[in-house]
Amino acid sequence: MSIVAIVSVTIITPNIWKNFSTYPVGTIFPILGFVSLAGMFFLSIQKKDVYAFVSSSIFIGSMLSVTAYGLFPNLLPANSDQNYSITIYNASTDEYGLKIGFLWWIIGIILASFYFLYLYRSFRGKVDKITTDIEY
Amino acid sequence: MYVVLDGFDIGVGILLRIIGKTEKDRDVLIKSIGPVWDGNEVWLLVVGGILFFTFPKLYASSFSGFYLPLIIVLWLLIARGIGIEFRHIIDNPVWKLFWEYLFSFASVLLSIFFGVALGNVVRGVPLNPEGYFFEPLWTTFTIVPAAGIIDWFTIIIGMVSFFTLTSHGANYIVMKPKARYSSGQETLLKFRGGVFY
Repeated sequence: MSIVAIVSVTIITPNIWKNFSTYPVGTIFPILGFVSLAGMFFLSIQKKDVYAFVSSSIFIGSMLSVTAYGLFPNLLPANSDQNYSITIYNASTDEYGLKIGFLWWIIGIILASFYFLYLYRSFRGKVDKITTDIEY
Repeated sequence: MYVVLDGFDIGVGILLRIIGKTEKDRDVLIKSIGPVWDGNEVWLLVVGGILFFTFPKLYASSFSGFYLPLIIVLWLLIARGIGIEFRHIIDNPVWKLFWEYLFSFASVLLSIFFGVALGNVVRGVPLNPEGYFFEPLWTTFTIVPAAGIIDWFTIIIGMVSFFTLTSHGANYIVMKPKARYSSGQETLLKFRGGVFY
């Protein structure tokens, strides 16, 4: 499926690889994607389940990063006329809005991070019929 | 963050009726995501919030142009939520079966729709000079002249998304719940990476 996706993306938007040749540092993302894919396969055979799950997470993250890096600076490309594309430059709010947004982002991300730390910490370990008393 | 975290509980939803052959197995599978599935969706709200205050033009354009698929996604998220929460209310096999199938069906469609949405972003949309666009749900399934939201390319990306999240869910199922599976399902889980990708 990965190969089919890469081929079809190349057919539809050949320019998506342009950023990778202009700024080769971004090739770390596809490399990471293929390494994590192979890692997931071998780690699952070796029954290293936690690492296999981490590899799967890295694979998803790296594939989305490849897409974002390839499309940059476009956020929503136009197939009608490239000049109509929505980019990070023409879509962003003004500087004051970005500053205020950044401050709220810091507060929000701290709250969300603590919530997630608490949530996943209280839910660590294996789950079976006995250890969970909440009905779902 | 959202795709990685909510991705595994969507994957568990897809595999619920395949891996969980007995009611006890399905109980364990649902309990394994029970406390976290709604928390994972917090990141979806974070994405919406960040778009709203940093890229309002993108927010306006995409929420307008993708109105129909976004409403479908919203209903699928609701269906997943009530599928989990209503399942245990009445201890009746038919009742449980209905909500389990609804949960699985919504998870399958949601995984495909997320891929279709990504496919639309990669392919591009027919934006006008004002930054707005409209796409029907489908036209002729071809890219030109006027592509719909669903065409052959976005279906491929949708299927990639489906298999990726299924595999991600399978990895979670092996890691988290202490359930017993039949030998056939063990084989499926052993090859959870290679077969799907």
